[in-house]
Amino acid sequence: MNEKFRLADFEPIIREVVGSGGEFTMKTHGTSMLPMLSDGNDSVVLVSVPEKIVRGDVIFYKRENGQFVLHRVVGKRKDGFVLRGDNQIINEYGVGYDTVIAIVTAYIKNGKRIDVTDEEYKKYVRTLDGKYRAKIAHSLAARVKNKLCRIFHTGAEK
Amino acid sequence: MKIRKGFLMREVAGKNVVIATGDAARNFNGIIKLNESATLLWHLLERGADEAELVDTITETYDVDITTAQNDVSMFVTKLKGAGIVDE
Repeated sequence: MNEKFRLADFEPIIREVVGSGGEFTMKTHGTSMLPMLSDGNDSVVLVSVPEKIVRGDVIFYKRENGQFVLHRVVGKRKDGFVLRGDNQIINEYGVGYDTVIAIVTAYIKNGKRIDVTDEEYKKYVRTLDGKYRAKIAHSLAARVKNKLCRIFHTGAEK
Repeated sequence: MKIRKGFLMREVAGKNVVIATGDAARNFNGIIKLNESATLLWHLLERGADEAELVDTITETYDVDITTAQNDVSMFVTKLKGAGIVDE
């Protein structure tokens, strides 16, 4: 497909394909789902939304502003799902079930299809919590360091 | 030849494209964009047609010689067969 289409143009098609029980494969863009999905190189295989979405699922949903997002469910609250990209430390809250268009059943990396039921994938998902905590700790340490630097720098000037 | 079940033509941003639904979508990844003449051929293949009928329709509809029409139809049919979109 040489011609560029907007993702929004394909929303009805995606809904029709997954709604018919089929799979819709599309390239992904952005860095929020690294290292699982690299910008413009990897693809995801989408299927219809199951009755129950669980922690660990990667969902394709549409924000109120019309933006399409592919992020992982990291929790659930009364106001909706809690989502976060694998490469992010900021959560998104209050994502409703009705905003979910499809769910990822597999992804294609370097030409290889990896299903979410594959052990290789499950192992990757299990590492995410530890990586998230490490990123938070790293971010906190950087903030403290910056604050201390500012305090001492300001102090030295006085 | 006939378009296999599960393959549909849809309009996306003013262009006609072929998509796969249901089981057909498990083995077909991507989109095939159809121009005006390909759209015409697609409609014929939806109800079933052989290559000779497709060539006749193209020569009757467009100002092209039979050799050009045969080549164009052959390329189109080969592409559809290669993607598993048509049955013999």
